[in-house]
Amino acid sequence: MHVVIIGMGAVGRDVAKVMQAERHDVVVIDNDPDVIDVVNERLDVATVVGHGANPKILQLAGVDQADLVVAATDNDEVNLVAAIASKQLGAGRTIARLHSGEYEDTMSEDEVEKGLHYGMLGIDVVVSPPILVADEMFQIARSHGALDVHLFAENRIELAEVELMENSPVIGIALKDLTLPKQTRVGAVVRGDEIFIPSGKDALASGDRAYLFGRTADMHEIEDLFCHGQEASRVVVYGGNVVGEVLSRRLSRAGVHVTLIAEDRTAAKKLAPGLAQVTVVHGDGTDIARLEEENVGNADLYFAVTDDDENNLMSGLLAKRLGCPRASCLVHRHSYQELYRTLGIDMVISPRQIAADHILQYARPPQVESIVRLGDGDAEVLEVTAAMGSPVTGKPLSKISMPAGVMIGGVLGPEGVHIPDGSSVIEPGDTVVVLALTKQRSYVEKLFQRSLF
Amino acid sequence: MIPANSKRARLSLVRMTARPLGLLLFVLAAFMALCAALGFLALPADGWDIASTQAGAHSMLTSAGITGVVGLIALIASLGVPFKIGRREALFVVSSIWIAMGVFGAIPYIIGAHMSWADAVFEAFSGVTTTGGTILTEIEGRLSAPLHLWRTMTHWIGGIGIVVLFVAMLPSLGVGGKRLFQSEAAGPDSGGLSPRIRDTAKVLWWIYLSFTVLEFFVLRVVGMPWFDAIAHAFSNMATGGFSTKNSSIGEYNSASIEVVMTLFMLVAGTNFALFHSAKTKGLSVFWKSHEFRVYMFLFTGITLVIATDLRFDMYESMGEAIRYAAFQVAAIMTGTGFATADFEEWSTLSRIMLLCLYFCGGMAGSTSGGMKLIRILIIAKAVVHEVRIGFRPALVAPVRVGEHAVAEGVVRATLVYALLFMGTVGLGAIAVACLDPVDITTAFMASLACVANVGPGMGAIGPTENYAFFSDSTKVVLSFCMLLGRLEFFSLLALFVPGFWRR
Repeated sequence: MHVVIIGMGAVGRDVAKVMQAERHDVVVIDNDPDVIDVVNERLDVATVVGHGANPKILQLAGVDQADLVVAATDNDEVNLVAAIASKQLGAGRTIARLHSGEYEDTMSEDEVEKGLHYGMLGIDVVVSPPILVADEMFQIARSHGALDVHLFAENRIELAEVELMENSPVIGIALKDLTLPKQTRVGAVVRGDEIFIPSGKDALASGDRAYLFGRTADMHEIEDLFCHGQEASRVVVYGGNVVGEVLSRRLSRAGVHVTLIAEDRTAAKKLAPGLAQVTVVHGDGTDIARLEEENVGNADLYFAVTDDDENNLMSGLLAKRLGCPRASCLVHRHSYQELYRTLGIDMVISPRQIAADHILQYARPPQVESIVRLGDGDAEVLEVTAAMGSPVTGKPLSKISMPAGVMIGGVLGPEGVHIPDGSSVIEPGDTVVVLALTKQRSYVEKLFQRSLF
Repeated sequence: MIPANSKRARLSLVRMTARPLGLLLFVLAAFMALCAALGFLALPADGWDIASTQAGAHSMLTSAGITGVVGLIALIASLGVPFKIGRREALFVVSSIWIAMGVFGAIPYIIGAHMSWADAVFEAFSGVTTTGGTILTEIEGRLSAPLHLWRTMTHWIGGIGIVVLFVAMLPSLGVGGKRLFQSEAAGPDSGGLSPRIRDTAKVLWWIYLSFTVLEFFVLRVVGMPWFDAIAHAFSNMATGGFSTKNSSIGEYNSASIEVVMTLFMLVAGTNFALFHSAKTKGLSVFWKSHEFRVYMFLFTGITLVIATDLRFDMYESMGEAIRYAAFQVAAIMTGTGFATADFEEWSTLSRIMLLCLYFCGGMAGSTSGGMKLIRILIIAKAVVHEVRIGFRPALVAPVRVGEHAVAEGVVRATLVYALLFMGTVGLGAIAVACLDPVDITTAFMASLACVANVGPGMGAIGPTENYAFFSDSTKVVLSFCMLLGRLEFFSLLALFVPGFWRR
């Protein structure tokens, strides 16, 4: 596949890195020659120095032949123009990354019904990191103590990441002897730096992080078993930006009491009219007295989502010190992610990684519906449609030889979703959620493609 | 004192290199076996002796066996060593691969032709670096058909670059492949054929292979015997210069063969990327390339000057003068080094013109030798630029070649390259003069012909003479010069900078 990526920020670089490793032909455009030098040094891609919205530059990068164009600069307008121009020049699919809430508003469902959507401009997919982050944080708030939540198969299969505390009743018992709630199962385990798919003989240990599969409706049960969490009923959000706004609105609509702390008065004043059920205050989230005033210690969940990584970290740590059981931070710089966890932040969310994941799913063969990378990208969850005649279909799963490092987490068939066991049979056309170590990807692809014989 | 951890770094570097080296030796062994088989194309009807061919094939197979076994040992030694190619590793791998090619390439000469080790190593390095200077006084009788083929085969392997073949064959090198590729690259302009380096390498090998096959058939059509056509196609497309005949191409005394070979020498000296883009964008890409225009201008211009000069000096007709001049200009300019005339007998003007061509080379991204025309262009423009700055210091303008601005770093690297080229030629000449009692022309030209990968020089090593009379130590020095020239100095010299081994 020929891919053109415009803008070598964190998202663009992440996408380029994964795509070149998957042996796609990648051409990248950036207007900073120094950035291009670094890319040349580290990635096996072709490079063009120039302004990404300039049609000449786009042509030079071969967008007319491109199957996919990703406009991921930090400037929304450049991204829009680049995506539109690429489409005009003959590109296949175009993806534009948009930060601003302004553009997001035209995306709401009512607007689409009125004929306002990006498709009319020739943009196939709009990836908006703030909205994606808000979505993910919302799912976390709704779960019973999960660190991270992903939804698959029309939102009917859920993957929840939980951390095992010392007092968890599942510790030390071999998985085959563990009685899990119906239609749930353990997908993968992160222990230290390593991610692995446990067999029946493996037992979980304190400090492990486990990925659990289940029907979305059944997840609270297994989450309760693993980590005794509670659905948040009182949440404090720190950050008067698009993420804070969208997250507060969604949570308040779901009946959660939300306090939104905006860094300055003007921002707070702008936000307040649109957030009827939310308590909007202004103040510094790194000021412990201010946090005490807002009674952060009594909140179930604390989100620090400002644009400043350090403020988010400090604010999150202060909230935990004040007694808030769980704190989540937004981190813009990839490399901080693990560090924040070590320091005691429960959930660290990187908008760039989420955006990159979202973009990457469009680089897969069409039968792959979505993809989420776990850990540092050592494992991934794929949502795949089983092709007619592919090796995975037609016989019970226990009869299919699967290497260690591949497991099937859920199936969406005509009769609805179920979490398969050894006797389950996958039918062609079923949507299957597969968790696999990244190095097994080619095997997974073969498993779901029609064989030649 | 070397700190302990740097010793460890050195050891792991060496062990890691064992894997590509092992693979290389397998490839070499395969090519040796191929030579043994193809040797039987040397028909008795064309004057070849079947018994000597069989003996030659046998010695080629023995060499292949030795090379293969050593390759296997290297591969076993490399088991379990992680293979990750950074900048340092790429330089080390490429340099050691090339040294190994020269050393193992010498085995057939020692076994099959009973050469001394210095002669064999010189001949092998002259082969892989596509220099084409020989130590053989009597070429036809001394070697059997498979060995003749091996000589030209070493040219062919080294021409586009063995590492390019590796990058094309091995998947999963990723960006490491790019580093390897750049460490072996010919000229400052490389890549850009395809976003992925592996595809670029594949395209290059396809172009190279196609032209070689094409030349083989065309040579056959214009009357060259089967065996000679294969050998010369290998030698020509690699801009090598080894011939199966004592008097090189002059032996055939055929105008049509000379025209064909002149054309293919010019093709081999053209940037291969142009052929690739011509496929989609049409023939205009050639004319749009500034470097190509200079290439053609220099070729025709110097051919005409020399032909006019020779017309009054030696030859009866202008046609005849152009025939010899064009062939020789192409042969020297692209660094091939074939000969149809003894240019030592030409006038001083003509010889000076040829001497300049030793430095020029063909285009970047080709198999040719010399400094490459794009570098000459950049240097010329940089000189003009400096002169302009002299009388208008406020001028802000980049060095331009055609429409394109050349980055300052590239200009600097080019100037350093030129200095290294001149410096190596100078030091090489001094070394030759120290080691052997030769005149100044011979010393200088031996060094230049080797660094520029041309082959025949002037003085005692002119087109009708050879390098046989040099002492063993001179042959080693000149082999090193050839390798420096082929790898364009930086890759090989990095190994001699102390910081390279320190972590």
